[in-house]
Amino acid sequence: MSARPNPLVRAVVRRLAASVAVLLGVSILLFSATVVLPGDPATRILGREATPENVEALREQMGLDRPVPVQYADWLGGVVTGDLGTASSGRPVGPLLRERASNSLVLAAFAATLTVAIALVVGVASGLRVGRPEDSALSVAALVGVSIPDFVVAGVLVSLFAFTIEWFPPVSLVLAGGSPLDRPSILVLPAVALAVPAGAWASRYVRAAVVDARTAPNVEAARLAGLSPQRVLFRHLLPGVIGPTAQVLAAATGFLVGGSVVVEQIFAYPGMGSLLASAVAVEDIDVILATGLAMAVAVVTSFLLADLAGALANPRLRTGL
Amino acid sequence: MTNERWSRRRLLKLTGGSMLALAVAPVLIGCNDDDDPTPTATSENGGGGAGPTATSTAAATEAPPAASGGRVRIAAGGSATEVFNPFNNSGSAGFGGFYHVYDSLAWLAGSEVRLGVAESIEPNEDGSEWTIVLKEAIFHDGTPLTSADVAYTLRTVADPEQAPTLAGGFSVMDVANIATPDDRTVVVPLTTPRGDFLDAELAIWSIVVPDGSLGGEGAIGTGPFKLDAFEAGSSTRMVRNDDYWDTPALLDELEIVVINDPTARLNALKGGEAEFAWEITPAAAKAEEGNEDIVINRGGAPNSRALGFAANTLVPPFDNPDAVRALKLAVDRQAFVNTVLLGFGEIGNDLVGKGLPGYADGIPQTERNVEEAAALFASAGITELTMLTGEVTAGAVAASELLVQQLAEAGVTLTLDELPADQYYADFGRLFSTPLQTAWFINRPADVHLTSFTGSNSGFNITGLAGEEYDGLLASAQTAVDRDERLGFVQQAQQYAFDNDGLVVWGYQEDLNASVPGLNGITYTQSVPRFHSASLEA
Repeated sequence: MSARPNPLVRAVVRRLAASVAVLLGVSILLFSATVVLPGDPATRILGREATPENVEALREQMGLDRPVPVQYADWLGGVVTGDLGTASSGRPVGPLLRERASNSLVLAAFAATLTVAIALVVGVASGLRVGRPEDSALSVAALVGVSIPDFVVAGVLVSLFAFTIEWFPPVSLVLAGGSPLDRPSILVLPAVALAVPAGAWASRYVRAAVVDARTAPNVEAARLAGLSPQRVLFRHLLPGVIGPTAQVLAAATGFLVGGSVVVEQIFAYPGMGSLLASAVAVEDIDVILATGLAMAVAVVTSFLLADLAGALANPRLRTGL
Repeated sequence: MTNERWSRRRLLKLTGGSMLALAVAPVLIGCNDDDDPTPTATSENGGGGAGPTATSTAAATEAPPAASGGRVRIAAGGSATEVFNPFNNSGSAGFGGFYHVYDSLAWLAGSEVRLGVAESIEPNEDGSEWTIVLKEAIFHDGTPLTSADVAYTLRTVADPEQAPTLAGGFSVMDVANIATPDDRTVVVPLTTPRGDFLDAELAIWSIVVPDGSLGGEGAIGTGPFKLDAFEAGSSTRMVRNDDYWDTPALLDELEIVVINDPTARLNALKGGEAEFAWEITPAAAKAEEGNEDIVINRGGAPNSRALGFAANTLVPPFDNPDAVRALKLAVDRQAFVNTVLLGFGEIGNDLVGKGLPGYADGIPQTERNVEEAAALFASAGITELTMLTGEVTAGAVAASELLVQQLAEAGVTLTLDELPADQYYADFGRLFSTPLQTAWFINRPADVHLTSFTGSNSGFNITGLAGEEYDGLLASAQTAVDRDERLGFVQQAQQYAFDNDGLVVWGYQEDLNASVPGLNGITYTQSVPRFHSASLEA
């Protein structure tokens, strides 16, 4: 009798396959977007001295004379084998992206921690006081947090914390040979600017989960057993909240990644977001493709991890019963 | 009329705000001589002199009495993909590095051509051959500068593959026959005689690199600062070259930090993260006017962009000279400067080159006359117009909207056809055939501008100004060896353009930079700040 695969393993394999499919779709969209951009990469590189013959020769050398699907397959093949192409200046994209990705990872870690903190504190506080004035106030605050654009949040933070009370620098410069962690204070304002809208958005879902969990049998039982409110909260209510909100917090990664394009520019932080913005400005195709795909990988990976966390939290999947 | 040699990117380089534009098509932007404390290496005859010959005396330097030492951080725009290659670069940060790590054969200080590592640059009788004699300079690794380095530099900058954005200007060189008769002499033959080769080409770009070098992270030059560390998109750190062949710099260290957002650049200055913000917005400059902790540096007309509208005289309705005249009379130039530029600019007179050598400032200023404009529009049967516009430079759309109001006062309804800035230059055919469009140019000497953007040989003539007489004037302005004679042709060409062209230049948008108080001695070459003689008060 052949043993059936563990449901958890099956779930993981399914999610992995779905993630790969999503990334494949994103890569097609990204590549298509760069193909329909006005202008021609060969002409861009050769510039004003380009004769039609020179342009054609370079197009051929770059493989631009081939059908678009063939070009896409070639690019994708490069990505799979670790060759992310070359920037228009001649600089290889791979090392550049690695350098920027590590900076972004540091900022993202700060921002994600803040996002989770904001979401949990605001969401739980609001959910525990549902229907009361405090709930209404926190709901309005969350709505405002979600509605205000990143760049406005960043501007307010700079004005307040860099120029009024002068706690943090107004820009987040990483100098040659340095690391963002050389001066962690540079990370605070961009991380807060990223975390405010993401945390505010996620807090609404946490609130809803808390409202549901309050009436769960185990929570009711704990309360009736006379456990202290803190014990009920931390031992019985929150564990039931974190599972359902893991997906939401993963989705908040999308906010962080999307927001990084604007926020990193505003604070002059050398991460992937500012790299993408500057590449788009000069239409540096290989850089746009690699950075866009890396951002998609970040979002898809966070969803995958959230799914795994959800699966591990599900007893039926975990035990196969 | 689309010229296939012209690409969208080329146009952006010629008209765009990046420093690359300055290199592609000569731009003569500099400092006011009055506040220029750079050690004197002034040409005796070049620039404002009587002939094209320029010589200098490197020993005749007079550094201002200023304290030595200190570090200056320059906040500037830049790209993460730069490789510190002076032959192929975009972004201010790169140029800021090049002009300190390297020296040039010649450079521009305002309207004046000055010599760098060239002792002299002289043409033969008809301008078909130029002889460059070098000073005794040494590279940062201790090797002497020789004619071989200069010959290599010139061959490389003329190579479209190595220097795609610069090679066009140097295509006039017969690179195969560049000769080096001795270690200090380079002879450059031209394929076409050019009396303006020094003024229009070498003074614009003549950075000298060691033989075989394309820059890079370990780049060495003969400049007053040595490259200490370079990280594309982050910073370029330079330290003083104590063995500089000329007067050493006063500052110990110079660091260019990349900040692409102009507001963030100003924030860096205000927050103590930089001492100089390279390019800020008019709105920011206005907001900081009363701030004693910030010094706003205004570029004036010599350091500016010319902004306006281009009417194509080859297509209706502007093939009717009355329609062009009416358009020019309908524009209230001062209102544009006040509204769009917040006063940080000067009004234009439909010509490019104000404040620079050869500008025809004797031509009377065109004043607004709504009644006459309305009458001319009416006689031409014009009641409606459409204009192609887009935010191709800051304020372009606002200016277009103001034009809508001003033309309405002259009885014409103007409809704006607005394109996204990144798509504006995608269709050259459309730009060459549209009757009216927004236009802007780096302010450059009139002769350089006119030969680039007007005449039958121009690749991007959007107003259609050409013809045998006019083309002849432009050709004479390029080939005449005698500078006065050349400027005479330039004056005539400008008068012709003023009378016949469809370009309306309503104003000049000044370069705006900001610095901390006590940072003195900065000079500019083509909008690039030079810190060779700068000092920082403690």
